[in-house]
Amino acid sequence: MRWRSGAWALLLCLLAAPALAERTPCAIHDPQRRPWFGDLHVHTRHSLDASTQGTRTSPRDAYRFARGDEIDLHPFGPDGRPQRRAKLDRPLDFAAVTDHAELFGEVHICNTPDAPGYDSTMCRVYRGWPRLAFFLMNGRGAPRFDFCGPDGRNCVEAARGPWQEMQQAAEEAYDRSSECRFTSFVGYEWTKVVDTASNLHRNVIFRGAEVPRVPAGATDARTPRALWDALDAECREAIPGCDALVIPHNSNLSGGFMFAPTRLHDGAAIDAAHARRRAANEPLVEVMQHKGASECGLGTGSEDELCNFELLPYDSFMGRFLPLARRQPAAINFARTALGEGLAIGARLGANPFAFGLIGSTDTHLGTPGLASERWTGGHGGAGIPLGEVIPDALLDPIEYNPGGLAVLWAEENSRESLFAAMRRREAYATSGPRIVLRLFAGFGLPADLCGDSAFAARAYESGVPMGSDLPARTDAGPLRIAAWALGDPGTASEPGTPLQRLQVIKLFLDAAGGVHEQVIDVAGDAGNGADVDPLTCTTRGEGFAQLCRVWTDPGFDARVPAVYYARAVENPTCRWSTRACNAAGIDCGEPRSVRRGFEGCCDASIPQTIQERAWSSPIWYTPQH
Amino acid sequence: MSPGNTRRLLFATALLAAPVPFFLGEPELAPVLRLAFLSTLVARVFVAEGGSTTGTLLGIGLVQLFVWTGLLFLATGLVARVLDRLSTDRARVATIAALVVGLLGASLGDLYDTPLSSTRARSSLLHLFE
Repeated sequence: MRWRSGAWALLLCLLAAPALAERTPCAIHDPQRRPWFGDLHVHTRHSLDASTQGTRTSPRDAYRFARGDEIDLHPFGPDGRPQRRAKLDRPLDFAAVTDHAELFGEVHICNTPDAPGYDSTMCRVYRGWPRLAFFLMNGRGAPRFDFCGPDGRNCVEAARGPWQEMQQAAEEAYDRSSECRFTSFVGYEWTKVVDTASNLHRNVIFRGAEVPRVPAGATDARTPRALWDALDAECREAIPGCDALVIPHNSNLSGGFMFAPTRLHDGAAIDAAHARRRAANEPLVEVMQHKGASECGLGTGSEDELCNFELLPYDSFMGRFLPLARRQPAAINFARTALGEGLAIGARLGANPFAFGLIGSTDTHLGTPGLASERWTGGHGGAGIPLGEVIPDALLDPIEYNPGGLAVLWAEENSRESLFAAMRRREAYATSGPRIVLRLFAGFGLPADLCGDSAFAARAYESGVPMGSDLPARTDAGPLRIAAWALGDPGTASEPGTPLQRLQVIKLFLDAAGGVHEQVIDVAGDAGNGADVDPLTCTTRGEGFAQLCRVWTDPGFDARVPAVYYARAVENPTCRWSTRACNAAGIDCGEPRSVRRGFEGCCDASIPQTIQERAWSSPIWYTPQH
Repeated sequence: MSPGNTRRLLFATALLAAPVPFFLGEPELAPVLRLAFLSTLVARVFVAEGGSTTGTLLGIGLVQLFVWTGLLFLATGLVARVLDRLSTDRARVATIAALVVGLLGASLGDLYDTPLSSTRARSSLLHLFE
């Protein structure tokens, strides 16, 4: 068995090596780096939850969509014609299809008439009652289903089909010409839940075309450490050129487990080795997506009013499906709390397990990467509402969901090597959908006159460090300065962007007793600019800023105290997707007869009618030298 | 019509068409007969594949099935008794007919919430078992 695995690895290496070499240098190579917009969390028909809600989009279709093509979406009529189509207003620069790895084989068998197991009871229920099958199959861990054959062999073998299709689709979509218009990454989602369906899901993104023969899913690699082990054993150590990083998401649904201060495999407290290993394997966290924001929770560890943004009213999947089992998310579910806890653990152990950067993505289950506009009211299908045969007269997503966000990477060029390096060094940021450009630098000798300078980036790189970095030990070069710069999304001719309202720096630091404190500082813009939106018409009112910039000197900086800084750029208010959908359906909450079944959420006072879209930078850390 | 026959008719109609709320992964509002049908599907999967999730879902389904069957049995018995005491034969038959026809008639519209259905989130009696 071992020699077989080795032979497969060798064969893959031989096949992959020429492919890697065939990379024409990009015509655009900017040493000061550019922001590339993409989506690293995309599901297609190979994911159980997507397939059981009717999604037929293939990985190839998903990449076509990311590159700007219009694609068909379910439901499909009896004549096979789609009842809706979708197209991005602007293509993405990169994307990764990340289907759930756990049931690749099972889904493939249940959809393939000649496959052994196709006629099993489970597969019959899958085809006839897919939503019921979702609950029966999704909760299955090890051992595999009986219809998978002895030792689950048939399903493991069958999983290779979708996995290879995903690799081929990524390969075909990757623009290896000098135009470098689009980059694809091979990836998958490791889909583990614990306790009361508490989410530990992580996306695995591979650097290139060199990937393991089968993805390590949660059926076999049952803890995060087991996943890292599998990536070491089956990728980094087994296949030359293979590398991967792991991106956790939806800590908001993790019941506190995603950023727990203990090791999940044995319950022991995190030690220095584990902390280093986690930080090395998981340099990024997806802080914004379809199933809510995970930055911070208002009233749970923070009094920051802007934390009240796309928060889910429950802290695990159980709360989504069983309202009686709902728990309010605790502070430890959020990235900001983890960044602070990371400082405290780092101070104790000398290693910070939560030294992560931030990205957003959609988590689309329609195979539509980058469809993060609030103007799209057609739903995203995050294991949500199956549409059936016709588009129902109803809200097409649970009202607490949202269209998701985008990942932005600061890289020299749009190639796998350059973008992967950006992820590795955490020079990345998240947006809630708009294409806001956000830069953050920090340094002790950072010039105070960077804003407005055409050489902003060159001088900032020269005298400071960018987002995602660790500050060097304090020198006598000057006070600690933070340079933050945001450029509002210009939008398109048909859908102009929304101006910026303010630019903030969020600082977390430790006190002498090891307690974590936070400061939210408006460094530019005007929180009281009076900008507003009419929720009845979604017409925006008031002025904003096309761009905001500030070199801010931290007056409270203490060289003896660990600290972390990140930036947040916030737009003027606009209508939330649900407001647009409710308006389009003619819902008037003052007129109960207009509130049809399926639109009850429109009049739920806990759901805001307007939002302030935003971007979050990855942090910059300061650690005192002892 | 005897009280026993009245009860049987009302009970059968209620099992077939009275919407009751239940939870089987998704919350549904549908007749007990659909709950029984779905529980049977889950039971078949459990027999074939086992699994703790399937077993839990089967348990949840069976408990609700017994509870709703029992409640409907008691409720229809109560209605049958009231009808027996308060009405003349003619009025009783008319009331029973109105109840049965009314419920069955209403069930022909999209009366039920059926998110577990593969084809429609709201269904009529005719589509409950598709």
